[in-house]
Amino acid sequence: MGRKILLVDDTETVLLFMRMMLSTYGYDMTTAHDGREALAAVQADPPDLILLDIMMPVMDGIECCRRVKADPKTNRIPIVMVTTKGEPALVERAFLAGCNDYLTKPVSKLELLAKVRGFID
Amino acid sequence: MNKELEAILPVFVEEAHDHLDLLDRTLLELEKQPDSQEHHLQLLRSAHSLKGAAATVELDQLAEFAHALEELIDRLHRGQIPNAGAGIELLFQSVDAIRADLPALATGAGAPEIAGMAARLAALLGNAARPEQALGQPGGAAEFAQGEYDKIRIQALRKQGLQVLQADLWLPVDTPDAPEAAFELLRGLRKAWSVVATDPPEGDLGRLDGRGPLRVLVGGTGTPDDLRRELQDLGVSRCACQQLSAEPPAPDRRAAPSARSTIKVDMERIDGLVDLIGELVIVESMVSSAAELRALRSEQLRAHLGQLGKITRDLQDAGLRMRMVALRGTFLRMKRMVRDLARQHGKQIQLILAGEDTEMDRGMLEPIVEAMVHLIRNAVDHGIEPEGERIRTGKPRMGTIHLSAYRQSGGVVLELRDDGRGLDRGRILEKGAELGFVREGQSLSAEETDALIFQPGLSTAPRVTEVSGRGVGLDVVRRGVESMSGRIKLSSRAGEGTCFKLLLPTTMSIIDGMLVACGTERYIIPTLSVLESLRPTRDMLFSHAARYELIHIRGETLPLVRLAALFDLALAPRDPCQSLVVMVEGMGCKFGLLVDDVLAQQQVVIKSLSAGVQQARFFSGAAILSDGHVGLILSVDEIGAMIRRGRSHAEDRTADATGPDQGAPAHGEEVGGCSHAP
Repeated sequence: MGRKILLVDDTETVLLFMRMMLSTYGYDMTTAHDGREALAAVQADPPDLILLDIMMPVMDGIECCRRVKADPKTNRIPIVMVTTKGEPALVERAFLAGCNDYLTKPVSKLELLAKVRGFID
Repeated sequence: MNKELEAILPVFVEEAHDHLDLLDRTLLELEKQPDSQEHHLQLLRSAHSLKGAAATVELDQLAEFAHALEELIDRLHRGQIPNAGAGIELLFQSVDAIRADLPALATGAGAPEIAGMAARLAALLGNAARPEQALGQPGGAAEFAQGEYDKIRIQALRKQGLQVLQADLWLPVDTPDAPEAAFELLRGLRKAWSVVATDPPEGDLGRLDGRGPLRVLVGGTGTPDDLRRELQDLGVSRCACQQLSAEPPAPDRRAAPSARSTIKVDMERIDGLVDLIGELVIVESMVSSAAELRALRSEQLRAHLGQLGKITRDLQDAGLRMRMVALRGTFLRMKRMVRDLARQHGKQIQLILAGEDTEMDRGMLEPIVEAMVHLIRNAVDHGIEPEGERIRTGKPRMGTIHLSAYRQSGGVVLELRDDGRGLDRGRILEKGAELGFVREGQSLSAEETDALIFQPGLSTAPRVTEVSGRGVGLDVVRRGVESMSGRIKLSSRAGEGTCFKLLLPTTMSIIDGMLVACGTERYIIPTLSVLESLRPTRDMLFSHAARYELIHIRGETLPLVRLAALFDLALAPRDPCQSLVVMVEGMGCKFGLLVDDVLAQQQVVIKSLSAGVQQARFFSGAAILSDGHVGLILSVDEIGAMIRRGRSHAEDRTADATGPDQGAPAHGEEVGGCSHAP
């Protein structure tokens, strides 16, 4: 069984990109389009790593991160926030919400893979 | 652009359109409630998503532009743009610029519109980019923490009361694969610490050819000694750890919330699936009605076939539903258009929408948009009077256009109603006569007169404006609607306004049709066009001047068309009283179609006609019937148009003949004008 990664972003473009970049490495990837979907996915089948966008409808990445980290059953799942340039205040809130690391869009394949490998086998 | 990105591009383009539509929509709302926090946040979110997606597919120019939009929205929100109206207008234009440039961007070409708008945005924003939060240096030796948000992260760690430490370390002497070992080390380290940055950076650990040094910046609750012990436990042979000094934090902004739970699938795939389902439906009905199977008289087989039939129909419904989309987006585009057109004309016009959730086949949206654009342009230009005239005639200063959609008898009705001056029938008749659509002495009912506006070249606009009145338009609308097997109903009252009703099927791949027989031929009449069917009695039928056959029904005398004659079927003329008349309406003209029999009402899957058959323009398509035979779908509007023109069908066919196989018509019969009998 490959390691499970949950990809969360409200744009299909980014999700598709990340899936393509990681596809050849045997990870088991699922996707969610907003924080609430992501929480449901985490509850249903806890992943080994979450790549989480910040600005999303319904529930943003920061709130999602806070909830994952507040739940003792899921707080050990590493969360890498996928950020955009020019939003320092938001990113700071994400850090305070307990995310483990971050990536900045546009994410290069090398960075993405390295960050993933720095958290899971 | 590399192959992988190219593959994503179509997804991006589609998504970008969604974001642009949402921006348009929200801007319209914002215009009404300029102080709405919610709308500002929604705008920010859309611009932001667009920026992220554009950056992902490496469309840097667009990403930067989206960033400038964010900036402008943010400033508007904070009340820092002195003329908010101008700011919103600029946002509208920016959305248009992106929309205009998207196709070119997707092919790697330049983005002239965006470039132009970007300059204007920069001018408005005063070139002074948003003052970035002044970030203090984290101090100490952590200058390799160069990532976008590394410094903020360090501040956040400190806010949480954690220590920030730096370690310079060397991997064990016998490390065979340094990068691999470094990943493993980081994974181990992350169990108790937050890794802020490394040197070489994580994306470039391949550079680590020897054992080190590898520099790591971490946050956590421990002391430098704790970190050292931990690193040694992880197998590091040598390390130096130190604590970094503190500095001040940064302020806060923005938040986010809306709904969505969808996946995007390529249209082609859905079309392929729907096509296959169509074939399945046909095969299923062939199998189910096979005499051989019925001869078996097996109760079980009968039950199973029944089940197969039900599942097939459910599958067909499900397949069609996948192609259905709500009209909301299309309607809102119209809202934007009315706003812009009204401004151009210096008129005050509101567009009131209803039934935006009505769903239609996605493939029909484009032709529908085209039709609506024409009709709305007409309403704005000719329908709604200038303000002065409205006030003089005691109407509200602001003109109103209602655009609504609702379901009716298996189809969808799109209704566009304006409260303008109504059609000028005198002008229409004049023009119609000029263009030869009305013959000397022919008297037309109001309905028939109105229908003339759908004739090519007929425009009653006294002057050609930028918006409409070029004499093209409504006939294009009619053709567009017909190509979807729909029809248009028009009503107008002088001084009160005009109402166009577009009666459309919900999908173009299936049509609800009445299957009729004429000799051995089978034809399908779209149910949307059918008014009623009846067996005529002798006293209903008569001919006029031995040329027109007419049917008298419910106080109206209407033309009667023999299908057999229309299509030159070599059949012995039949007594109409032994036949059936299907009353239909097309092109504002009611008439009867004389057929041998009405066989069934059924849904058929439409196949478009190949070029060779197209000359027979009385057909809008073909369908494979449940017995495996092909039936042609009648274009009631074309037949109606022919009647209206009052030309003999022989003339008509010669004019259209494209092949040598056009023999002389078997009957030289003429079909009468649509006028009432004397």
